Amino acid sequence: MMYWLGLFMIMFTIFPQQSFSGDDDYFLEIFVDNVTPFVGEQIAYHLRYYGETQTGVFPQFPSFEGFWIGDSYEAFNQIQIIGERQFFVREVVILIAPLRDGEYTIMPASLVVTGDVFRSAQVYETNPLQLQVRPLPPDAPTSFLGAVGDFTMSANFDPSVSLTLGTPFTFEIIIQGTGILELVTPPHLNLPDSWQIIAQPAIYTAPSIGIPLGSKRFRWRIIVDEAGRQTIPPIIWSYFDPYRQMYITLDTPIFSFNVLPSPSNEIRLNTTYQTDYLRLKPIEPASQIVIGDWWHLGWLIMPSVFFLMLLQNTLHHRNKHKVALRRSKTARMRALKRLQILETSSITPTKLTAIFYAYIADKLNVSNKQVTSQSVTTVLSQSVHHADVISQIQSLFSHINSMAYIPEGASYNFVEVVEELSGLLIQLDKTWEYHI
Amino acid sequence: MRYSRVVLYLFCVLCIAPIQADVGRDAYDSGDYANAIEYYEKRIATGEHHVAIYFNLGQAYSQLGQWGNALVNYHRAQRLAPRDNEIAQRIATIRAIRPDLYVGEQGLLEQVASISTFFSIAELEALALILWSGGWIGFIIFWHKISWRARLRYPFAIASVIIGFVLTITFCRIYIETARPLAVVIIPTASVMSGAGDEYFAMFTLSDGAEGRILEQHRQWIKIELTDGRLGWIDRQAIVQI
Repeated sequence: MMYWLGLFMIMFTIFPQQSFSGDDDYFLEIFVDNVTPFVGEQIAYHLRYYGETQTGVFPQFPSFEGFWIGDSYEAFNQIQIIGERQFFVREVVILIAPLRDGEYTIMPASLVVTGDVFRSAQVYETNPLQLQVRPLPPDAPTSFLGAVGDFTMSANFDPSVSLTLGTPFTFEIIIQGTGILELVTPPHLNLPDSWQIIAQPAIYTAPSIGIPLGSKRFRWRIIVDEAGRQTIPPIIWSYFDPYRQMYITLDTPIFSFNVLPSPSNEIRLNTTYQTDYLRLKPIEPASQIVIGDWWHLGWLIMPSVFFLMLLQNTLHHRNKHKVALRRSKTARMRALKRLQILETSSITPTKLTAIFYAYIADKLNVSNKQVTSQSVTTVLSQSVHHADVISQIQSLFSHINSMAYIPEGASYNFVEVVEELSGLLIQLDKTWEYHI
Repeated sequence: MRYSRVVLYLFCVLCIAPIQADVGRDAYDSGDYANAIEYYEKRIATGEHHVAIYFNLGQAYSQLGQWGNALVNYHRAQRLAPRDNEIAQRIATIRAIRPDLYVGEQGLLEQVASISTFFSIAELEALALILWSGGWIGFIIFWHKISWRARLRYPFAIASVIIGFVLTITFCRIYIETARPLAVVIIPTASVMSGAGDEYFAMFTLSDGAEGRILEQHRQWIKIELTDGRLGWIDRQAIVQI
């Protein structure tokens, strides 16, 4: 319930005289949502300012003497058109709570606008605010510890089923709602004196966008001193609701749980430690094997093996490639030599084909008999991926084959063909891909 | 002659070891915890890193109510024996009874590393090393045996994921333990300053047994990060690194 948006909204708007003429560039207003709060009741102090620019504008809050200052947040930050003028409007809210009853004065807030080349620095100031703080009703219950607002209370217990004697568990009370939660003190736990109860620092979660209610978590670590069925009685806590103007008392359910005997079968735990509880471990000589750090080298073994294999593989391939290149060179040299020693008169298509086949055989390191026109076609298609070279070879050999059919007595320029074949062999070597 | 010396040495070791173990226990059992502490500290100073020595030292400090020192030694014992329930229980108890609330580790790396608390660092590293080596063997087979690749594809992918997971956890654990080691406050109250020096303002105080991770060191000041995210500088005399 957002009671603080409440009943008595009053607005104190202080503008400089010239602001009414609509000529001023900055306006400042303040208001609270309740001018007659109860002691400890949360009220929202709003500071809203309008400016032609957002830069160089610094709102300054009063000191709030006599108040608890809680969370603050930006209520909005937007652009508004007022009197055909555009203003950046920003509102900041501070949650405060009066700490005593009586008459209060909140000193003026101000807005400092820094100067620039066009104007001098200006300070806008509001009037002070008067509040009449009411005392809390006198009939407060004993479980009331000063919380004012609207709250709910819940409890968590972990573990919820059973635990072993000597094992601590966490008991948690969560108080959630509107009000100055930072002022809320933990409720009293009505637990046996023999239990070890260690209060932990409270965790406060401020309200934020999407979470309108703040919360405060109180935690205790508890060690039960006796095995068996144990109970946490209801935790009773009261607060004053300023909206209903009455004290409200909340309580938690009863928590029951089983405490199992300790590992050493104790059913009662002494709060002072005993040797049985804090027993020592036997020190067995030489039970620890000290290996040292040398085994970290193990991280390098398998990668090293892999890289050695990779290296060996690479070297092996490189070697095979070198051998193939050497063989190829030898084959080319031998073929060129054969072409050179051919006498012009003795050149025939059969001899040229035989020289080419011998070249292929040398290149592949196979005998001449194994090389056929079929195998040459296959080898060329596998090893030469330059289509123009293949087509040149094919056209040259169709040309050579056609020479067998030239009419008797006709002459033919074989020297040109030999030169072309020599050039092709060199080109073939350059484009040959070795599959190793 | 040489053998007789070895036999004599072994005899001495076998005789002295049980006698040494009794000295600390005797002092402890008779309620002389200060002497027990002194004895166990001496054994640690001589290079003995034994679970029981750290644990017993922690027990002796616990008897004196020195929660910080006790926690340091329980943590050291737990590093050597991570699956020891007794040690874990003692750590949980001290975390419960010390003034500062225990909040679990919040950082991503810490949470990833915490998956592996079942293992000690040495065990985790050994496991990671075995998987790492196995992974490399698998990779070599995958690379070398082209005909097996189709069959090995899915097992290799699954194994890679598992190995990657274990390696990530191991890396996080080692990084956390070495680059951001745990430290425990060992004095009743220690101020945590906003900077490395007395001239800075005290942001908050920590009590005996509070834990945090060391981020950096500047002369006698150590920057620590608490598990709830708070940061600050603390005098190095006030804390002990695990």
